[in-house]
Amino acid sequence: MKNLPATLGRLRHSVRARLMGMLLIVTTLVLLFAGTALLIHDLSVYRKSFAQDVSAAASILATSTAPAMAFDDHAAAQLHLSSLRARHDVQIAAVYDAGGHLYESYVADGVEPAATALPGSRSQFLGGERVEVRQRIEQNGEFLGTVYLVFHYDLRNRVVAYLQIFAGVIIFGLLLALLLSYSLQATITRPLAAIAQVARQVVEKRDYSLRVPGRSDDEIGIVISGFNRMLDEVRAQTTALTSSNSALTAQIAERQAAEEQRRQSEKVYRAVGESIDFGIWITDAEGRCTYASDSFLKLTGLTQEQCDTFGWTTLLHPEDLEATLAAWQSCVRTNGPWYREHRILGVDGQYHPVLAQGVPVLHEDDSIQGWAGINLDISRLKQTEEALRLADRRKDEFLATLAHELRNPLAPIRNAAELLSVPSASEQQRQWSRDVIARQVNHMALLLDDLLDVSRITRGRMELRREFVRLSQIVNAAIETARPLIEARRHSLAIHLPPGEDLGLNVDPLRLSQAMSNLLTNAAKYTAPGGRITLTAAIDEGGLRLDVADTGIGLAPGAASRIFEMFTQVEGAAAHSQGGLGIGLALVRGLVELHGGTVTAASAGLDLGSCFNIRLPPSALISHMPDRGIAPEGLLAATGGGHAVLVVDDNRDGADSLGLMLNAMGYAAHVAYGGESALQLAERLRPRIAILDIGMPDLDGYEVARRLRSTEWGRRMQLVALTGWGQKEDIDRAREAGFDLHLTKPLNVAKLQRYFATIGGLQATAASSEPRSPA
Amino acid sequence: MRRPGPAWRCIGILLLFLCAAPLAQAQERVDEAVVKAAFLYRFTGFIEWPPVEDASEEFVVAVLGSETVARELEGILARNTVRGLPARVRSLRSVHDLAGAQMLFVGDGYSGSLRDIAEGLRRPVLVVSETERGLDDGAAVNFLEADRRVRFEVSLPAAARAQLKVSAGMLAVAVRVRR
Repeated sequence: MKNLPATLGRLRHSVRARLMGMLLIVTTLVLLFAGTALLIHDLSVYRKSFAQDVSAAASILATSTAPAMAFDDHAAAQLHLSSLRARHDVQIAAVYDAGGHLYESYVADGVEPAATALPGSRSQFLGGERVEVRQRIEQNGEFLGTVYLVFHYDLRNRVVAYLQIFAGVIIFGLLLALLLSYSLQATITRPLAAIAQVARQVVEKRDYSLRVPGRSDDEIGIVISGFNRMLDEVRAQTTALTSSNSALTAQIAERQAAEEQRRQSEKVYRAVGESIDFGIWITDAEGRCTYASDSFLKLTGLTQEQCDTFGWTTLLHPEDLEATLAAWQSCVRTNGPWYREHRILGVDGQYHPVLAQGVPVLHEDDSIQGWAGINLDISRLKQTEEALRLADRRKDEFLATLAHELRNPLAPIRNAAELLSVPSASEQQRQWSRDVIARQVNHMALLLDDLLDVSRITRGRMELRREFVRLSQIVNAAIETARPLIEARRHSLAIHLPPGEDLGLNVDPLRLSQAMSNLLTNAAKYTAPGGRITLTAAIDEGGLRLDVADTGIGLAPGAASRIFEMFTQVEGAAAHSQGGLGIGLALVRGLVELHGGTVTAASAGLDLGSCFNIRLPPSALISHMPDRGIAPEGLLAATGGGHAVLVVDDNRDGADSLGLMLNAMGYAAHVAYGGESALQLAERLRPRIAILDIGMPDLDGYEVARRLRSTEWGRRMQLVALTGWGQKEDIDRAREAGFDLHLTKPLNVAKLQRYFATIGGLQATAASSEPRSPA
Repeated sequence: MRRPGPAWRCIGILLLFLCAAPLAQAQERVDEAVVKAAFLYRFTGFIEWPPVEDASEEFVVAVLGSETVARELEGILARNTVRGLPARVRSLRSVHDLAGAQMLFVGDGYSGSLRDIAEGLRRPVLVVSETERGLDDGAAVNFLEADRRVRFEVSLPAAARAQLKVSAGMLAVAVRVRR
C-alpha cells in the first residue's frame, strides 16, 4: 500500500473529484435558487411595506396638518413637516393648498427645493430609488390641500447588503459541503483506491493471488467481494489457459517443423522434376492434366487450362495419336503405370520426341488419386539411335565390301599358285604367276595399310612425323603412287606448280603424299577411261592450296559434304568403281586435318567432273610468302650467310631437325645434346648465336646462358631460349638469365627469321653451301 | 393694449395717494370677514357637540354684530353641510332670537354685553367672539390678529361649560389656549 497517496491522488481526479464537484454544484445551485427566491420575495415585501409605510406617513401628516391647513397656520404646518426630519429617507415633505400652491415644505439636505406647484401625479416609485406619495388633506369633507412626500427608496443598499449576506451564506455552505464531502468520500474512495491498487498490481505483476482487504456490508463491500471473486475466476481461467496455450504452442511448433520439412522435401522433389526437359506432369483420377511444367508449356505453346482439357493430344504426331490415346485409356482403366514415347509438335513447328513416364498416385485407401510423372526430352537419344543405326548399316556395307575386296585378289593368286604347281609350266608362265601374286599381294597390303591408317586416325593414334620437305618431292611421290592406275585408264595428267623456287614445307611427307595420291587414285577411278586429271598447287593468304580436278562422274548436289565420311561411297558409283573400301576420302580428310588443314569437294553436277581441294595453313610453310613481289627475302635458303649457330637440345630429333633447317636457311648449324657439351662446343666455336632448350638433365638452359654471359666472348652472343613454357614469369626468368629472345615450342620459324633480320649482318652474304634436304 | 399716456399716469398716482388709506382699510375688513367666515365654518369640524334629544333638522349659526361675516358665512354654508346637516346663518338683531342655534358669532359690531349672552346660555352653543376680552367674557373661541393674520384663542373652561369638546388639532393651531 506504499503507493496509496499516488492512488488517492489519481482518484482525486476521478471519483472523488466528481463527487465533490457534484456536491458543490448542487449546493451552489440550491443556495442560488433559495437566495434568488428570497431576494425576490424580500424585495417585493420590502417594497410593499415601504409603500404602506410611506402611505401611512403621508396619511398621518395629512391628518396632523389638517388643522394647520384649515386655519392657515404656516408655523403649525412647518412644525408637522419638520417632524419628518427624524426619518432620513424623507427627501421632500411638502404641503400644497387646495389651489395646488406650495404652502409649506421641508427638504432634506442636498435635495432640490420642492416645486411651487403640486407636481403632476405619476407612479409612486420613480426611477427605482425615488418614491413619492400624495395625500389629500380633508376636514369635514372639505378639501384643504395635499401632502406631498418624496422618499429615498434605498433599494441598492438593501440589495448589496442582501448580496453580502448571501455570499457569506454561500461560502459557508460550500465550506460545509466540502467538509461533508471529504468525510463522505473517505468512506467511498478509500475502498475504491484499494481496489484500484490491487487491480494495478494484478495487471503489473500478473499475480492473480492478490485480494482486496476489507469487508463491509454496504455496496462497496459487495463490489470488493465481487472483485475478489472475479480474481478467483481469472486465476483459474489463466491457469487453464496457460497450460492449454503451452500445449498448443508445442503442437504448433511440431506442425511447423513438419510443414517446413515437407515444404523443403517438396521443393527438392519439384526441383528434381523441373530440372528435367520437359518437366513434370500431374493428372487427376480421370486423367485430366492438372499441372504441367513451364518447360512443357513453353515447348508446346499451350496454356495450363488447355493442358487440363487434353489439349496436348492435338499436338501429337498423327502416327502416334491413336496409339497414345489407346494406351492412356488402358492406363486409366487399369490404374497402371504410364510409359509412352511419342512426338509432340512444338511451337517451333518441329516434332519433338518425348518420353512421358509416370506412376499412379494412390489415396490412403488405395483408390486412385491421379498420375504423376515426367516428360523426358529424348530427341538426342533418338538422334543418337539414328546415327548408330546408320553407322551400323555402313559398317555392314563396309564389311561386305571388305570381304569382296579381300576376296577379289585371291582368285588370281590361287590361279597363279595352281599354275606354279603345274610341273609343265614354262618359266615364262611361272614368272607371270609370280608377278600376279606379287601384284595382288601388294594390292592387298595397300588395302590393309589404308584400313590400319583409318583405324589409327579414328582412335587418335596417328602421329605425324613432320620434316622439312619440298613441295615437288610430295607431288612426285603422290604421282608415282597413282601413276599405274592413271596410265592403266589412259587418263592425261597435268601438273601446275607455283612459279619460282620450290616451296619448303614442314609436313609429314609420307602422309601428305598419301593423301594426294588417294585423291589422284580416286580421280582416276571415277573418271571414264581417257579422262583428264589436273593437279594444281598454289599459295595465297590462306596458305597452301592443292587442287585435284577431273572430268569424271561428278557429284550429286549435297553429296559433297557426305563423301568424306567413313564407309561412304557415292551411290551409283559402283559401276565406275575400281573396287575399294570407301575409306579413301575419309583417310584423306583425317590426314589433312592432322596437318591442321581442310579438304573439300566441289562439283558442277553429275557427269560434270569434280574437284577436290586440300588447304594447308601457313604454319605448314617454312617461309611465309604471301606475295613474292613484296617479300623479296624469298626462301629460307637465301638468308643464312653462313654464320655459325649453336643449337642445344637434349631431344636429339628436335636438335637435329632445327639444325637441318638452319643449314637449309644458310647458317652453319652446330648441334649439342646437353648443357656441358654445349659449353665446350661454344668455347671452341665462339658462335654469334645460340638457341638453347631450357629443360636439360645436366645443365639447364638458364645455367648455360649465365655461364656463357660470364665469359668475355659470351657477352656479345645472341641467346635465344626455346622452351615449352611460355608464361610471363618464364619469359622474365629467361631475361634475368641473360637471354635476348624467348621462343616457345613448336618453333615459329618466321619469328626466328625476323629476329635474325634485326641483328645486323647476319644475312649479308649469299648462301655459300647448298642447303641439305632432310632425310 | 394701449399704454396710458403720461398725463393719465400722474392722475392715477395722485388718486392712489388720496384714496389709498380708506380703500385699503375697507378691503382689509372684507378679507378678514371672509377668513373669519371660513374659520367659523371649519371650527364645526374640530368641535364635538354633545348629543341632544330634540335633534334639530339643521345646523344654525347665529351671527351678532357683523353683517359681513354673516353674509360670507351664508355663502359658505349654502355650498356645504355641517355635521351632516344643512346649515344656515341667522343674523340676529337681539340675543333673544338665539333659540335653535348651535354656534354664535358675536362680532365687534355688537354693542351689548357678551358676558350676559354667554352666561345666559343654557344650551351647548359655541360662542365665538372677536374682542380682546372675548374669552374673559365667556366666549369659548376668540379671534384675534397676530402678524397681520387672523388667529384665534380657545378657552377650554368656557367650552366645557357649554359641554363642548375641542379637538387637539384645533388647540395646536390656536394662539393661546386657556385652561
